[in-house]
Amino acid sequence: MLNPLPQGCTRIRNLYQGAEAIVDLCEWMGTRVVVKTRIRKGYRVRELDDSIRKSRTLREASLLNSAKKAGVETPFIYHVNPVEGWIIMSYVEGESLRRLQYSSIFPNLINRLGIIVGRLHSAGIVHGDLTPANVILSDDRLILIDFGLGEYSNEVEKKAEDIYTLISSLAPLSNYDTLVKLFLEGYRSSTGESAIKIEERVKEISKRGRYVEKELRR
Amino acid sequence: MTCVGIESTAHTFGIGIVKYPPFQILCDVRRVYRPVSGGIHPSEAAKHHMEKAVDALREAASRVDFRKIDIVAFARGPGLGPCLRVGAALARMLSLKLEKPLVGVNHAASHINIARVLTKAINPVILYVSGGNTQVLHVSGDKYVILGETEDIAVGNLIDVFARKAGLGFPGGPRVMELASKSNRLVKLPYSIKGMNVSFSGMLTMLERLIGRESVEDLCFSLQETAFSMLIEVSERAMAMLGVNEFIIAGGVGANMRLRQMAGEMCRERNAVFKDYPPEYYADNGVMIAWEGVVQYLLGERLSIEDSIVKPRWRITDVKPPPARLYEN
Repeated sequence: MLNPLPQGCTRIRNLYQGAEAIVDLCEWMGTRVVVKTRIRKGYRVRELDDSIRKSRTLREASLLNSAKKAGVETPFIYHVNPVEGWIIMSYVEGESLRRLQYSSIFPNLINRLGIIVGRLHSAGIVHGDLTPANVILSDDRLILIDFGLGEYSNEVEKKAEDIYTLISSLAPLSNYDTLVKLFLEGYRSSTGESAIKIEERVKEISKRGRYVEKELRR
Repeated sequence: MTCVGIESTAHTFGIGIVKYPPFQILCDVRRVYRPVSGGIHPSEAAKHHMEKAVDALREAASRVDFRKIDIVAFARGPGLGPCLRVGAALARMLSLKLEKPLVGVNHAASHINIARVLTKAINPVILYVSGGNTQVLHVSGDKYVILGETEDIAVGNLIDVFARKAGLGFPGGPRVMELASKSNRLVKLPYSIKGMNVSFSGMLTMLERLIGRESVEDLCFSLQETAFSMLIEVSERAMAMLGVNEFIIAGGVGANMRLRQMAGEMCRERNAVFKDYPPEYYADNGVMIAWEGVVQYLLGERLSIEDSIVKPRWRITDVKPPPARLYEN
């Protein structure tokens, strides 16, 4: 099923189709862009559906921007239409960290990711779906994508959930312990004191046992 | 084998009898407690169950010869302590009298498994919604996995408390559904989803403030549309995440037609199947306890009288689900 695209966009290929949004690689004004469209849900009454898609589109655009101000690289926003529920943003060329998880540079990248996530959290932003699939290595720069489940929050729980999500996605790897250590070292270096509380909460969450392996997600 | 199941976790005292294989319902007796005012009062509900137990048992015995019973099952939890103890006492008595094994079953798992046996759903995402519970679940290997749940009150509780404050009586579900069908004006209410979790307490506070300021029909409509959209959205997220294309609803709130209609629409849009079944089995009943009794008996569960103390806070994650092959063909 093909969704309608913003005017002037030509679809090159679909990148991702989730429960909430469709992400397409497109040609727009002579450049390659990513178009994320929040799909209309027939089960919701129109008025409610419009208001949800509008507020989430605006929030996502705002988070991408705020993250940038906090020193975290994210795609550039070219155009937003909250009423139609789409965002046109820059296409980040590169490899997702998920594809790099067996490479020799992966431990170093995870350490750098720790620093980046620390910056994000210090700015009161939570990503909401922090998996290696949502981190792109592009020309030796790490770029965070998909803030669709993100929010502004300073709650310890939310930040700990971010870290827990990432850590559990590393669980199948043989050097898991080293990777977690490297990630947390990076995280501590950019968050300082507050890291202690958050790390304690991560341990608590992992004991609750009601989370499924989140690597199933992608 | 034939199993009698006794339900007494909250407002319903039920005795159900099922036969297997193949799955067959032999009898379904229910006595429902209706509070004179307010919500469920645990000791009053327990008193109601005690008063109705013998009468309900007589009715069941008039339909099925109890000498043919092989297993005695009862809802051991989760639920209201005083109510649970009534069902447990009757079950112990029956087990001793008939000299048949006693099986204590989980009420939530019973809702899910009656839904599965009636729909033949092999690998569904399950939305479990009742007065006391709101969870999105999946059976993964030999475990129930809770993918999402309410962070505060259950959706059935939201409906019941709102209905009570708006003077609609208890239970609120049927009245709210009826009044909602008379409106199509949406009053904006908090729509609160966090990952695959939901939260309803903010919505309840807002609704309470709006009683008297907005028409009760509009409030019922807005409550249903907003709360149910949240539930369907998290269910869809779970389906997308797991790549599952079957969906079932279990628990009393599933009796609401609008919720089931939305479930059908969501599934149609993503080429999945919403597996529905007769509304009377969404509500608490003894049949589901009897079926879960069979399931647990087949898994080897037996409970001695001495150990048969009720478990008011029994989490479903501590219960074993049946293997999927039980629901194949």
